[in-house]
Amino acid sequence: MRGRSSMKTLLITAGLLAAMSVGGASAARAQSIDWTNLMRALGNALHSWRISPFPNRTPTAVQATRMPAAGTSTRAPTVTRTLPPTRTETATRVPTRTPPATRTATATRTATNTRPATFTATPRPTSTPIPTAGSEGQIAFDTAEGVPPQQKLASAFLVFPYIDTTAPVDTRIELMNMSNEQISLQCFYVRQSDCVEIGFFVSLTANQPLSWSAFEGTSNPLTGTSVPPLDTFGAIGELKCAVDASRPDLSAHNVLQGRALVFDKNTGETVGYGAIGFQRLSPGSYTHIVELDGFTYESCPDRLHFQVLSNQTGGPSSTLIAVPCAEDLLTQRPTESVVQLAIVNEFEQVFSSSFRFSCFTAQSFSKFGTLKKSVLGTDTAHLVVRGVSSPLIGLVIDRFTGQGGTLHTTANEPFLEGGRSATVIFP
Amino acid sequence: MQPDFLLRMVRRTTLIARLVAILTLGWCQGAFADAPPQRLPSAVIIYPLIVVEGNGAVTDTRVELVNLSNRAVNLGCIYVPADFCSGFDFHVVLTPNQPISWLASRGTFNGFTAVPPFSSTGELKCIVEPDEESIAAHNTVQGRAAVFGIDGQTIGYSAVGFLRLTDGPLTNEIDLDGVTYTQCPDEQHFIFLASDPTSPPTESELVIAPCTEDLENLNTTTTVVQIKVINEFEEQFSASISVTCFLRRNLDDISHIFTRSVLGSDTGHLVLRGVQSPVLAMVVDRFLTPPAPATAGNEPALRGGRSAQIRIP
Repeated sequence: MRGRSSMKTLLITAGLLAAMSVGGASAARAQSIDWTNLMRALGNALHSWRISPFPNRTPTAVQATRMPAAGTSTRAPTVTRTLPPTRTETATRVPTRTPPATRTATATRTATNTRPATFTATPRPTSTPIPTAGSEGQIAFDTAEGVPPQQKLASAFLVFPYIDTTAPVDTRIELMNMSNEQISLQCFYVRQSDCVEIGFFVSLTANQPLSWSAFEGTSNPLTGTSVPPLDTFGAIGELKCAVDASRPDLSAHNVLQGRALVFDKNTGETVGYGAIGFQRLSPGSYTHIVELDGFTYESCPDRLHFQVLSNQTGGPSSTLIAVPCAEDLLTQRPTESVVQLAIVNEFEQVFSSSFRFSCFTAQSFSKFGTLKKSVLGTDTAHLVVRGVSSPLIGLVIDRFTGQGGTLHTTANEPFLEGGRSATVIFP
Repeated sequence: MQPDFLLRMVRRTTLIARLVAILTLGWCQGAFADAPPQRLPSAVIIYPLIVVEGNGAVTDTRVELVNLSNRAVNLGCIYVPADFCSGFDFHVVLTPNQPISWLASRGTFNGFTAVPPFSSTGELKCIVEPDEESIAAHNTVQGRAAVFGIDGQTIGYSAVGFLRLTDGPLTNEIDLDGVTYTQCPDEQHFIFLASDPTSPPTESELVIAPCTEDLENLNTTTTVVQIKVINEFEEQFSASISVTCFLRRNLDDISHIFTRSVLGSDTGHLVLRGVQSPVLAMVVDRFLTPPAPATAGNEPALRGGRSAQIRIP
């Protein structure tokens, strides 16, 4: 018995050793095994059981989705699983890829004409999601969708919503290159009176600051900068500046910041504010069409929130300034929009108001009964502003009386909520 | 196991660990070394300049806060006077979308909100105390302030906002580290008008407060601030100044590089960077529009981010 059992033990040991040596040899030959094929085979086997642990199998799923395009029944899971037909399809796709030659030709054509078409087409439908009042009709209480532009950062596109040169007021415009490279800007004033644009180019050396009086303009033959006056007789309007980047990289686009000081030469009343900045989000060259769509550039804010002082009877009146985000300066079609206002007082009571404007608007608070302290009931109000057919950019000029009845004026820049697409087309 | 094999394993592990560390660091820097985006509903807001002189009869500040959410918000706020460098705190309760404002010299009392009067120069910090841990419950407020004097000068500015980035409860350590909250700005860029010391003088001011602040242990933060000025001809000047807790000084008193005669142009590009701690700053623009002086708040453009911590009691 003992002999038999020892024989059995010997046999088992020999078997184990043989197995180990084979394993070792195969391990040594591991390099020569085609693992890709092995995994694919295993994957196919598992896939036929609908268990596919290999993420590489995803392409098959894509091919399966293409099947319906070919007109084959979508449902038939057998079709999806059977590899040969799928592969045959891939084979059929090859010829489609063959005409790259033709495609190159098309590409050349695109460069000439197709581009503008694509640009005009994409933005407009996106900006269409127009009015949609919020839940319960209150624009103040709905959640705005989209992402607003991040402020106070180096930007690729700037909007100065308020430039005033009507005597005795003047505006000092300040621009600053935040990069270590020379940059070029394309800028446009847009006058309130007739919505006419006045364009010019600015060149800034590395880190250069530049400022000029909007009434006088400036000229520097060394840098090639020449800024005309906003209007010979003085006018009110806005200024838009876009970085004409020398390279497609984002770092060549997002380089600019600016502010403006609007001051009354007689009274010293001053409104100093930072321009609203939009960052470029995807690399590419400057095309004179600024797509504020959340992909190429940051989108326009959907709603502007201001904290304002209510208008006291007999006291100075604050002013709301708004300009449309979307602007077609190429065809000189002024953007018209209705502006919806929601006003929330300190007791959470809500009032609303609206008005229509074209191109630029400056509305005195005294025009809105709902912003009077006697109606509002509190010193402070939360003002929510939303453009209906185009998103807006705006500013409030706060005016109030201080110690001894002195008049105080200051800029009140908005907090931004949500994002909506808009397109600015430069000539 | 043989010592050679062990050695190789250790080396390999170290190499992999190093690679992982480098990749993680690179990713962290790329993702989070960003300046805090402004004008969005925030979780922490800082007003770098609150001024009350003569109990408000000479200079006063109107502090404004607005709830930008549809939920009630509790705020813990703390005034930090420059002369003591220690804070005194209060709580503000805002109903959905509610705006609130008060004169710093008088404070306010309204239901659950009681703001004590302030009678100094300093800063104000407000932190959202959310009732739940979601980011949406943190990022809800914004604020601004208007400093105005009997001489008619007005400095209006928006508070600097920091967003909460991860869900979680509020602790007394506010980590402005790019993970819990957005970071403090590394560099601050201003366009300023050159000072003219001739009669009558036009002198703009610089206000600086360190980002890092330990108001629990009253450990005062001192930092050197490096100043770089570039004129319109791309010529560069530099200066530096030490800041403990708070600084408000005329540009001309800091250095002559801010004067028109030295700078050589009307406008300058000012870059500020705190060395030991990042800082928050603003410029008060002052210039003459004969016969009246003109004043305006000048907020910086922000670049880069650096970590800082605020400890509240």
